[in-house]
This record gives sequence, C-alpha cells and structure tokens, in this order.
Amino acid sequence: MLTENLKKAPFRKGDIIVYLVLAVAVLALFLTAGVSKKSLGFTAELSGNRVMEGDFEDKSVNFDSRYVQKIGEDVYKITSEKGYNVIFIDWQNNDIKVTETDCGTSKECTFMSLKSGDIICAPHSLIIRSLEREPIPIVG
Amino acid sequence: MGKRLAKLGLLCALSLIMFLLEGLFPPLFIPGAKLGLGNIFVMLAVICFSYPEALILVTAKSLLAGIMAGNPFSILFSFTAGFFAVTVTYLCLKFLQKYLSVVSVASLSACVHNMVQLGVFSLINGTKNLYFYAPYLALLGVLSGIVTGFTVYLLIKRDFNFLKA
Amino acid sequence: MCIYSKINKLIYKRLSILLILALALPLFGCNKSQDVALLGSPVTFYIATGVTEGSLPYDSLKYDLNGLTDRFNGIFSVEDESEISLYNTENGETVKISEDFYYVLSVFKDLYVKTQGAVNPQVKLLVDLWGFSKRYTEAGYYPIYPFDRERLNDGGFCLPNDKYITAFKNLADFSLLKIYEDKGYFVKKPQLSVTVDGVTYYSQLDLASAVKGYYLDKATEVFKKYDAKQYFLSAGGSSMYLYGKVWDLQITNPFSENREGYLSVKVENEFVSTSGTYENCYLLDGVKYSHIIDGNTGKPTESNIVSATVIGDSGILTDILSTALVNMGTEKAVDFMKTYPDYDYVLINADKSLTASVDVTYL
Repeated sequence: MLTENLKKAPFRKGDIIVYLVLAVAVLALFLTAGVSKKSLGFTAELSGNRVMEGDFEDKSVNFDSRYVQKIGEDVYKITSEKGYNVIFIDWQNNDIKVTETDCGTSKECTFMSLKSGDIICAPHSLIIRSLEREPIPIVG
Repeated sequence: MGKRLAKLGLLCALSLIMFLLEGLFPPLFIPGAKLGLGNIFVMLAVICFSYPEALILVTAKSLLAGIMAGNPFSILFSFTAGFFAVTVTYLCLKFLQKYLSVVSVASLSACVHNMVQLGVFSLINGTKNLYFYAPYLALLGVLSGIVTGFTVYLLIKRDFNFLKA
Repeated sequence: MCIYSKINKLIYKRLSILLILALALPLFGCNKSQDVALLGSPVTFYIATGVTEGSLPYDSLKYDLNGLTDRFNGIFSVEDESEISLYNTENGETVKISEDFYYVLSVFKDLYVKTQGAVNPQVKLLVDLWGFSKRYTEAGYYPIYPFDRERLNDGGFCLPNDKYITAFKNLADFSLLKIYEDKGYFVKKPQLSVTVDGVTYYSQLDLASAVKGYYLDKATEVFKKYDAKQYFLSAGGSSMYLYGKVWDLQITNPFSENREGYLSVKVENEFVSTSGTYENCYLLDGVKYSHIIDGNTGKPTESNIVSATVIGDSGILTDILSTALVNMGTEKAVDFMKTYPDYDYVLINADKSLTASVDVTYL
C-alpha cells in the first residue's frame, strides 16, 4: 500500500476537507453536550450506596451524616475512606459543582456539570446523578 | 513470510510498549484519555503491510493490553474501537490516497477510535450521561491523531528497510 | 510469493469473522429482552439504587425476570397448554403436578380452612357463570355455554339461573381436593360432577388470587441476585413488593374510575396486595356484582368492603388474604387478622370509612 503519494507531504489539498469535517463534528459535540436536561433532583452515591439526595423543586436535602457534613451554606463535604469531595449546590441553575477534592492530580470531577451528565469521581467511587421525579408506587 | 510475521510482531510489541508508557502518565482530566501513540505502529501496519494483517495486530494488541492492564472488559472496548479505526484508515488510504496525507487520516481515525470506545463503554455500563466527555475526547483524538500521523509520515519518508514488507 | 497469497486469502476469510465479532460483541452487552406479561398483566419495577437502568446487570435482571414470568405463565395461565388448564381438562383421578403448583395448592388448602371458605380457588365455574373470566374481557364475546347470557348494553349481564348457581357452588367444595407428595407432587381431583340441562360439569381450579403474590416471592430472589438496593416491584398493579427504604405507597381510589391514588401508607421491605370489588364489576338493578365470588354463597360477595389491602412478609399470603378479607366483611376481617399479628391491613368500606391497623393518610 505504500505509495509515493503518501511520502510527498504531511499536508495535502484533501486534508482541508477532513479537518473541516472534524472541526464541525467537534463543535457540534461541544454544543449538544452542553444542552442541559432540567434536573429536578439529585442523588449522591458512594460505591452504590445512596448517601445524599436533594430536590431542586423544594430545595430540600437529605443526607447520611456518617458520610456527609454541611460545612457551609449550600456546601457539603462527602467523605469516604477513599477521600473527600466538597460539593456546592447551585439551586438557581439546578446544578452541582465539585469545588474541592483530594483525589489525585486529575480532579476530573471538578470540571463536570450535573446538567450534562453524571458527575463521577472514579477514585472515590462517588457518583452524583440527576433525577427526574421518582416514580410513585401505587397498588390496587 | 516468516520475516513479515516477525516484523508484524515487532510492531505489535512496540505498540504495547507505547500503551504501557502512556499508562504511567497521570490520566488527563478525562478517563481513558491518552495520546494513543501506539496507533503509530498500527497505522504503519496498514500502510506497509495489509489490512488483514493490521487487524491481526489490533486483535493481538487488544488482548495483550487487556491482560496486562488486568481489565478484561477493556479488550472489548479497544478491539471494537481499534477495528473501526483501522478500517477507516484503510478505506481512506485506499480510495483517497490522491488527496489525503497520513496526518489527516491519522487524525480522523484517532477521533473515530475515541468515539467508538466511548460509545461501547456507555452501551455496556448504561451511563448514557458520559456524553459529556464526547467533545473533549473527539478534540483529543484529532490532536493526538495529528501527532501520530506526523510521526508516521516522518517514518515512511525515511523509507526504512524494516518497513518494506 | 504464491504461498503468501494463499495465506492472504485465508486471512481474508478470518477477517469476516473478525468483522462480525467487532460489530456483534458490543451487542452482547445489551440483550434487550421483550417484556413478558404475567397472566396477561404487566410486571413493572423501579430500581432507585443498586442497579442502573440501561446497564448490563439491569438487562440481565430483566432477562431473568422474563424467564420467571414465562415459567409462571406455563403453569398458571389460561392458555390451553398451561399446567392448570391441563389439570382442569384432565379426566383421571390423580394428576402429577409441579412443585410450584403443589405449593400454591397447599397454601390455599390451609387458608380455605382458616378463613372458612372466604378464599376458594375452586370457584372457577362460578367466576365464569357470573361473567368475569378472561373470555368476557376479550372483544367479541358471545354465548357459548348453556348458562351464558347475552351481554347487556351497559356491559353487565342479567342474573344467572339459580340452578347453575347451586350446581357450581357444590362443585366448589375445595375440601375434597387432596394433595400429596410421593417421589413427586400429586393432586387427587375431587370426584365431583353436576349435570344441569343434560350437560355435565366437573370442578375447576382458578389460582389467580395467589399467583401474582407467589410470583413476587420468587421475583425478589432475582433482585437480590443483582443486588438491587432500593426498589419496588409490581405484578399487575395489584400485588407489590417494596424494599430498601421507607416507601410512600399509594392505595388506589376504589370510588373513582381514574384509579388515582387515594391513601398513602408507609411500607418498607414488605409485600402488599390489594383486592377490591371495583376492579371488575357491573351493576344490575342498582346492585353491584363483582368478580370476587364468595364460594360459600355461589354469588359475588355482598360484603361492605370495597377495597382490602394486606401488608406482610409473604407475597402469596398477602395476595390470598386480600381477597379473603373482601369476602369476610369488615368485622370478620378484623377478627381474622388477629391470627396474623405481624400483618397489617387497610380496609376501605362502602360508606367510605376506613378500618386499618396502620397509619394511613389521605392524599
């Protein structure tokens, strides 16, 4: 398959189209990934166990005080044996932000927004998920 | 014939070494984000050898990388992603050789690889919300593809004997 | 290099396998199984934590659940090949049955005695006589049997002939059915028959008032296997299991056609079943006739309870008891439930008053 063509140059005419297509695709992804789903509530789970939940509609929170402490107005610290994450609840925007954490250098969770998806702190097995209203059990 | 196989094996080994080296770096802020330098050798296999042989390389690399990383699931992700990346590379090079350079093809295929990997990961784990990562992974793919593509270009330009099938 | 080209061809063949693998492997991850209905009613569930919707374990859970539903349908459904249908059409005296069938019968036998006939699985012909079996719900019902009547304009039926009521009531003597275990499970059919207008009828079984509850007993094992931590599961809407936290369960309004929530009761790690005369009924001359047949009278129950909900630690028991309580009426029901001190009940009476052993709130 090796032909002289390929050896000619690292950048050729057709390349422009490829880069254009890629640029459009990346841009499109950036735009659509930002589209937020209205989150009505959220839960925070450590290793699959729910330790905190909140409702954006009536601005309420419940949490398991063994793992979660309130350290400020709308600021909570979630601690496990693997480490801690400090979250800020943005009631105005129905969003959660991780403001502080001790999980290594990457701190990927601090970039995440609840509006675009689950906030995951993998080293701490922490997942903060947004919830639609939970289905109500009814019998009869 | 044996020589060919041996060369292929060497490329695979080099690809794996790259994989391990990249693993030593701390993850960039996205899980699974890596430079994909191992792709240099996969691309070389497509260019200097043949499509089927490149696929064999991808299969071998996925299996061994998965075993070495200790995560059998990753075999699935990297194989499927690698398969599509290699196929895209092959098709582009075969039909669009006149217009494209290795760099853009590498860019495209790295992007495809990342997208497929993300897709398979969310399919299996059910978190459709990983969509958040998609744009960053795509961008990273494009950029890392340019790097690997340029390296491939430099290598084939030199016309190494080793690369002559 | 002709050897190489031959090998190349081989490689191309293997390639197609690789291609299929690459495309198919991820699909194995999501075996989307079709939901199966249990005896015609949907099985639904919601998992709050433990298993994420859409993930591999979730799909496997659904797959296992569907398998369980298939198994139950094979035994208890009205299809001709189901175990119970074969039992009903079997002429011999002794029939070999499955362990599940045997177990359900054993629970019925026990409760038939304890409730003094308020629950009776042998009333199938009566259910049919009064117009409540499956064939009536399907479109295009027309009279087949000698005792069938035409459906009236308002959807009901006129009263059946008394001689049929008496005849089928006699066939409903469940005490004559015997079960035993002897290197297998067997049931001795009651040697009963009645002849009316030249046609002979034999006793028939209908275990519907226990199947959904029993299904839940088995289904919880599936949820445990996949480590679902908080969930609720509903079999057909009238029997449920709620686990993992204190759920605010709603009880349907028996006085409204919309089936909206009426009462709220807190349930955690328990089975709940509701039976009511509002579920399937018709009016005739101002009198309501419902599908809950009292085996002792041969007629739809005349009790003052419109909805009975039982909460307890057994799916099959709560299911059977909820039907039994409706037949008993409020006083007898309250008295009877003293024999199940760990169980709770909520009875809604025809005059809208409540009789309950737990705190309930109006919605």
